[in-house]
Amino acid sequence: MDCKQVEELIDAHALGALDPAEKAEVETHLSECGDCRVQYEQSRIVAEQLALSVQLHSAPEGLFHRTMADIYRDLAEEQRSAQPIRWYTPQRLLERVTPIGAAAAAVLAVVALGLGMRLDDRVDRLDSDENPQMVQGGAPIQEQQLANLAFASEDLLSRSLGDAAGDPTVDQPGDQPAERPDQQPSAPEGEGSVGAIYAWSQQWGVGVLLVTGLAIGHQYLACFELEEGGASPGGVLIGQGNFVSQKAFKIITSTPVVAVGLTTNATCDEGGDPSDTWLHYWSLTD
Amino acid sequence: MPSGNGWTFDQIYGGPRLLAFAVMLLDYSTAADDELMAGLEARDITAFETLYKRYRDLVFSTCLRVLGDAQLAEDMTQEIYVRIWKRPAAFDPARGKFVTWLLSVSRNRAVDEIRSRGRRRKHELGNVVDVEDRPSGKEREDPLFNAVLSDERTAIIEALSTLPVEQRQAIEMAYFKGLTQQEIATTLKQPLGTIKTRIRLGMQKLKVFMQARENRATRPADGL
Repeated sequence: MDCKQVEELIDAHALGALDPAEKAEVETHLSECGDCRVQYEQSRIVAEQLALSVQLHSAPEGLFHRTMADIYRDLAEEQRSAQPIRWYTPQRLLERVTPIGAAAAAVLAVVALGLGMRLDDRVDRLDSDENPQMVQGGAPIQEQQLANLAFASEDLLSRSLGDAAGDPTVDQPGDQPAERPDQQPSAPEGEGSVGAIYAWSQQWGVGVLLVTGLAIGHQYLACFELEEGGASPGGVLIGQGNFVSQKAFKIITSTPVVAVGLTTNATCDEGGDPSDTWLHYWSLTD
Repeated sequence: MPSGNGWTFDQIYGGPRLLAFAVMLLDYSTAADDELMAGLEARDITAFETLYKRYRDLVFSTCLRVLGDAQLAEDMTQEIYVRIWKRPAAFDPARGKFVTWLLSVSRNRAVDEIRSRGRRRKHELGNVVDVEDRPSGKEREDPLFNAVLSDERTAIIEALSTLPVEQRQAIEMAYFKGLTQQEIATTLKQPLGTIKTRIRLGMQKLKVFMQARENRATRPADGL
């Protein structure tokens, strides 16, 4: 084909309206002729705009959940075969969102190690059949999304909450477990040494609770004890074993909070002292 | 379940800082498409969700326009987004905007589908009109969607409205139904040469219109 013949077919080619034989000839010519390629590009750009002219219809809401279920399944599959883990260590999580200074990442790693978050053996954890169940539909996915969004600016402050007060973890064989208040729920099976960091940003109006040692796959309700009395729920954390469970909180009021904790009860305010009724309780005013 | 609470920072954290992190927050809602695609390559689920929500209606609508079947359009939309998640590197920013690439992928995939299903004969003129007569969804409330796409949608819709009906019809049958010029000629019972001319003239008019609009948009205001 010569340029004149191709010129007459360029627009149809941009629309995908050529039969296979014509299409092949046009493409051969375009690969050899710069001038015709320029013309084709102009037609292609306009053709691509046509899709913008469609009348808009709302995609069904259920489509979102079905799509995300596929995505999470794919991600879980990637992580089963990938090394090291990309999601639930605080360092990798922060690196994934945006580049952070090496110093900041190092600080975070030190803190994580100090709380007993075992980062080094995450490869072993990946290979085992006990991988955290990160792929779930519905509410747990929403909580996960909130957790991923909980990052603050340079003004991010944080506080190591250390081991939870009243944690029933037994330190050595033969040790007697500490007396547990009757109202306090039992720790789920598989729970280890629980530690936490609480970080917040006044500028961004967000706080995030990072907890390690929670029983894999178990749901914990995050709770806040209010200065004025009573307790307020803050959402659900899913236990990730030695990896970090996290929950983000949007700061929307000025109600003082004196403690944060976790419970496996259905509500935060079961009556009585939260330090007795919650499974894990961390004072924020000590 | 409520997801927020509040406290007075000064009252609780009046003590010295224990740790400080230099972390930057990625504001997903205002992140550009290219940034979000970079997030996809880093396997950032939230970046994917943001892109999904930003363009899902447009992708769905494009698929619906081509396929003429809501269930097929749903399935196709899901397939397209999963493909993007699995192969984000398929998008080359050097070739143009993400949204135009996304819609091209959507349109091409949907056209492949109808071709493979052999449904071309069903897409007579009447069906095209039926799809367009469905109740429309509202424009997305995503500020970035509106800021970026509102003008472009307006431009192409306006450009198409200036075409003679038969030229617009030929172009839309080619683009949205994946018909070849010969198939369009057969469907409309017109000579092949006539269809070729309609497509060529129509596309020329569109190109001139879009270029003139772009020139007006970049030209300094009169009187300055």
